[in-house]
Amino acid sequence: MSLANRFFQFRMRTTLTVGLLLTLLSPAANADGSLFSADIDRMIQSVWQSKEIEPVGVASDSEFLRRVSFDLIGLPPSYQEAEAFLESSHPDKRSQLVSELLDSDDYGVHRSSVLMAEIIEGRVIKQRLPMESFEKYFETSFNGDKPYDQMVREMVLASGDTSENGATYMVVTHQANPEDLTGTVSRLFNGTQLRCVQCHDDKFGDWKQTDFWGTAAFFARTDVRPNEKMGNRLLSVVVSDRKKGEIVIPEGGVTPSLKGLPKEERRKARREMLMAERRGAIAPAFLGDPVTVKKNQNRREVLARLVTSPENTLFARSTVNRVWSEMFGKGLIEPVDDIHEKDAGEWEPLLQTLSEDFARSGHSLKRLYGLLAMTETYQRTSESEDDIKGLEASFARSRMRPHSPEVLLNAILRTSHAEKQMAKQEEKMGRKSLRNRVLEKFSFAFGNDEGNRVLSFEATIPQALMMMNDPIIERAIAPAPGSLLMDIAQETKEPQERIRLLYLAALSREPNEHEMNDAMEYLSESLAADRQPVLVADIGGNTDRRKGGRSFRNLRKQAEPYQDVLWALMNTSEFLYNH
Amino acid sequence: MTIRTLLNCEETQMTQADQPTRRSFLQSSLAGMLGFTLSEDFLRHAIAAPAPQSKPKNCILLWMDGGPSQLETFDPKPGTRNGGPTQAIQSSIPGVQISEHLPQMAEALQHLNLIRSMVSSEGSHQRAKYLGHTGYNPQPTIQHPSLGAMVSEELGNPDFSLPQFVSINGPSFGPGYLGQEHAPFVVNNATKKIENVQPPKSVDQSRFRSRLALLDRMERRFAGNHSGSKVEDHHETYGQAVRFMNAPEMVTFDLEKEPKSVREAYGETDFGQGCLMARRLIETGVRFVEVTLRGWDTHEDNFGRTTQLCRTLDPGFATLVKELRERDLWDSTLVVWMGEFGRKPEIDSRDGRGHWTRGWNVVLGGGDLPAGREIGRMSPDGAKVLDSPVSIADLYHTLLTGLGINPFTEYMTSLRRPITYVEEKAKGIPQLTKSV
Repeated sequence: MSLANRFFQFRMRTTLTVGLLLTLLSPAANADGSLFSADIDRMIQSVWQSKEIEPVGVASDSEFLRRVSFDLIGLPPSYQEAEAFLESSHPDKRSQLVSELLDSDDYGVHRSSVLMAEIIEGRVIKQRLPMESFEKYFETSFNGDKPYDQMVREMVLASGDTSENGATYMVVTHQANPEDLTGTVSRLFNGTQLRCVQCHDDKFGDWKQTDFWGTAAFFARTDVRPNEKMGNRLLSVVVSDRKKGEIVIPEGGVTPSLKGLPKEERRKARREMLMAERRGAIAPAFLGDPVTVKKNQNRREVLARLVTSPENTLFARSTVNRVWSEMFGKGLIEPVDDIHEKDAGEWEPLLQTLSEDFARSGHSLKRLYGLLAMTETYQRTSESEDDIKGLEASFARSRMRPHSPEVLLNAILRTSHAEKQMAKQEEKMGRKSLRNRVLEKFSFAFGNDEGNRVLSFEATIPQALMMMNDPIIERAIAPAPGSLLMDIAQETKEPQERIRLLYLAALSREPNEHEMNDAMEYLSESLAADRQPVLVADIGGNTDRRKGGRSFRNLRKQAEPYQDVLWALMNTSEFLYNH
Repeated sequence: MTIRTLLNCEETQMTQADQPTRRSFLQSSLAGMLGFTLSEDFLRHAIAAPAPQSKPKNCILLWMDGGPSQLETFDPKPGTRNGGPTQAIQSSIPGVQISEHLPQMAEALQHLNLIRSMVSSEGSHQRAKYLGHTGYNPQPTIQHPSLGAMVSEELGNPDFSLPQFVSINGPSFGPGYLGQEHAPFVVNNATKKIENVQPPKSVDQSRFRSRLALLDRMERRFAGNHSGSKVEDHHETYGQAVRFMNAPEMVTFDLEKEPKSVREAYGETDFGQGCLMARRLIETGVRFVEVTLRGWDTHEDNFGRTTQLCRTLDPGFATLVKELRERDLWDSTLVVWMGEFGRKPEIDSRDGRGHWTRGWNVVLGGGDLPAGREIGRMSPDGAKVLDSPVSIADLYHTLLTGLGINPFTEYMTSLRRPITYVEEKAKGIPQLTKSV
């Protein structure tokens, strides 16, 4: 069976989103006024025309394949998938690819990991709770394309046991702290940086300190209590709301920690706080407007509605702007955390149109991602020899973007096939534990602060040292059974063909003539240096270490030049960046 | 031009015009940066050669992770209800007694100053560590740079092969708004080999060189048609990383190069060896080194554990002071000893001490600072600050001024808010300013 056939058989499973995508592309569906990818392109082109911008050309199939795979599922394609896609002459292959990616379970896994990382930004969860219920909640919600407004409401008002309700993730990781929850909810879902006024009124804008604390008042009654324990390990906690409880503005704007104070002072501080609650309780307010909450009403329920209500256009604007920034490397308004009362300038009509469409579609994220992925603008190349900034700033050239540590790790493990071996070990050791250990080490190279996540690969010396020298990576690219090198060796004995497959695996493209020559030269130099470039499978396929002994070591030696090529490919900026 | 040729011409007395620029390093190929080793002698020679007019300032931070008990280190209260079994001995500062478990420090203290009246505002570890490392209480919308990052930014030499900020035995804190180039280079454990500065075991030098040459050629195509800062950053960082791996100064990390007697004098512990590494790094040109000693969070068995910790601390700290003085580095190197807070005077039922923010110790000296001063006193039960309370911001004001850095240097954050290195309300500690 040819690879192209394999590819299409693979694609046949795709059903759900093809329908969705067709509605994006077919003019017949325009009756209800909903948006097409081409409409977005037209709006962008009119800005280019007015600024006399000449965009770069269209991205090659391999560039598009790689970019859209990282953006939609956080993974690179395998060499088989890459080859099949490149070979296919189907006119709709790009839209078919987009639907298939949106339909794959990896879509939900990737979206979950992005949102969960955003929610705990800069925080360490000391008591590590089991993550399964949380992951399940996010993955099912994203994969089922649950309306995003509903999902946000569920997160804001989630209660109950964490092992049963994964929507509690946000409240639990913030330990129900009203200040932190206020910061996260307004930043993440309404693009509003209220934390600037936590301690004092805004010197530069219109916000008052009471605006921050008015929102915090919605969380004043929420508690997190430990529930189930096994020995020292906490298995679940419970989120609930008390009938009473108010919020007051503490002196200096940060609720003080009472630790480290003498006993009398601690008592005094508690007494003062209670008195202040009676005297100066802050009434619930949302985005500066007072809100009436009935006596027996759950305050969080009121807030959840306000955050996502159709009248609050910030919800759709902020979500669309975030998704745009993810797909294009830069928001229509920057920074994405702070868009309140800001205008997107020349992109304002586009942002408004997209936000209205997002709300009208029932807040469907899959539709939004599909819509953007199918624009010509998204599908432009990142190649260009001159004028970088002018073009990139107007989305007339695709922007190079750093990967998050999670996605770069995915890329390394998937490319080298090390994830298969890891999966086997994980079965023995419990879910994801091994991957998390590697990720921890990996994140260490990305940022050294205790508890401060660095959200992207930013080319630092420790990162470069890790990519070049870390034993984990060397092991991942070694010719062990089940590795990429072994699989390629079994596929073909032809050195040129093997190099071609290595390029497809690492960069989703074929090498050009020069690159092929360089690689072949490398192989023959190694040959001259008395390292026969043969792979293990060439000789009887006896790859078992236990049986192999000395001959296995010998064979490993022979695979070295190919391993070197893979090493070099994985250290290029083409591999390390999304472009 | 490769590094090899650069170094050769350095040996034959380089003229000003021949001096390698940062660019020329970057233009050279990755593989060209490999393939030589230099003797320690050459290194010393190279470092000692151009004596600058005024010596650059350095800083060493000895970080006592967990919050050291002032009552078991520099402010013992024997014979009182809160004192516990710790006895006091006379130090080399007249009238100042410290714990019996720090005999070498008692001798060295005359070169240092002792603050006994630190008053801080964070009582939980993580927040207090942030405060201690940055001079600011944690704030939700901003990442403040750590002291090491400030020193790297203000005093660092960008053409130096090693990072300007090295943190040993602990992660320290990041550069915040100053940018990743001022992040600490972390040495996980002073007594173990540093990770990832050598190619993996299975890859020998010649193979590694071949790999780099291959990478260089591959990278060229992509760089050719992807103009832009990301590709340049990649090239620059990989160049720096390779330069770092092969820098002659890398031997600084190799403590085997020191005589056994010196190694033993520091104490054969991670902390002691970390102090030795700090001295070697400062000598080579690293501007800021942090060395962590863990284990001070003594909620249980306070007295047994602090005695043990003092045995590790005493030779490391005292030998560091001694060697910096002997090597003419003392008046250019500020040394600070501190943790995130102190311990509660009352002894609790588990023979432990809780966290304490109202009256704890910092020891500092070297650089331009005076010596032999005692700042602040506590009440006999150790519970009240009697005079001269010092805040972390005040301490930072004093440290930065001592390093020749304006503490009110202003920076723009990513949210376009100007911010100063030290809070504007901070004042220098009067007893430690030059005019006193």
